[in-house]
Amino acid sequence: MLEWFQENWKMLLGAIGTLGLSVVIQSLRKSKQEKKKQELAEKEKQIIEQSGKIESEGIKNAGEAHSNAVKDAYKEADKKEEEAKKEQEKREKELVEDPKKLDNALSGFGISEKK
Amino acid sequence: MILFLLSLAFAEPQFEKLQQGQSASFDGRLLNDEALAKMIAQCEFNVNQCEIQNDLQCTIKVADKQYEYDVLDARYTALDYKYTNMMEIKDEELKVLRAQSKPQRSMWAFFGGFMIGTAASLTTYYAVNQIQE
Repeated sequence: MLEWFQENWKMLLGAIGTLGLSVVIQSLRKSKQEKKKQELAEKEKQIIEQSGKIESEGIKNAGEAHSNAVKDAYKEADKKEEEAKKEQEKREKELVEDPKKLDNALSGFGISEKK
Repeated sequence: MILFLLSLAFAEPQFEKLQQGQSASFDGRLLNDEALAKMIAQCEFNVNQCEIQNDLQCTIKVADKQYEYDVLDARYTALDYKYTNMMEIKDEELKVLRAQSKPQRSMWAFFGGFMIGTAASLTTYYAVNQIQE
């Protein structure tokens, strides 16, 4: 048996070398796949982070728009109320100056003049 | 008497123009034009104020709903982004996993064939040697 090995060591070496090469190629392929998997996991993490950023940015913008809209609405209401107050003073003067308008306003309330 | 009192209680709202010193034909409160004008103007102002407040509440409600919509839209956009990209990644991952679980057989077939061929030639060589001896 030992003799046989001595005679055929080249062939055996060739066979073992081929086997070894195939193992190396396989392990290289496996490591490439593992690297790809790691890359994908990293990409996944980035996408989750980016998605969170998009959501928080959107919510922030919505909040800002909402607070601005409410602020504007109150400002507008205050402005209108001031105008209404001015209108009230003007109307008061108008009614005092013109008794006919006063009578009309009273009849608008359903209060008629006694004849 | 009762009928008279009832007629007073449900008397129609009315006014009478009076000059100073003139006596009124019914009981009531005498207001000067200024007081009356103030009351009427105040009343009109109250109506206006009510409308203004109503508009304000409406605008706030619309803004609230817009906010809710915007928040949902932001969530939808984020989820859409996440879903689209995740699908791409998962597809790629699936490809990698498939390749991992089902390695290319041609390579193994080649090496297997080579090994069998080597073994067969070695056996033949050994057998021929044995016969010659």
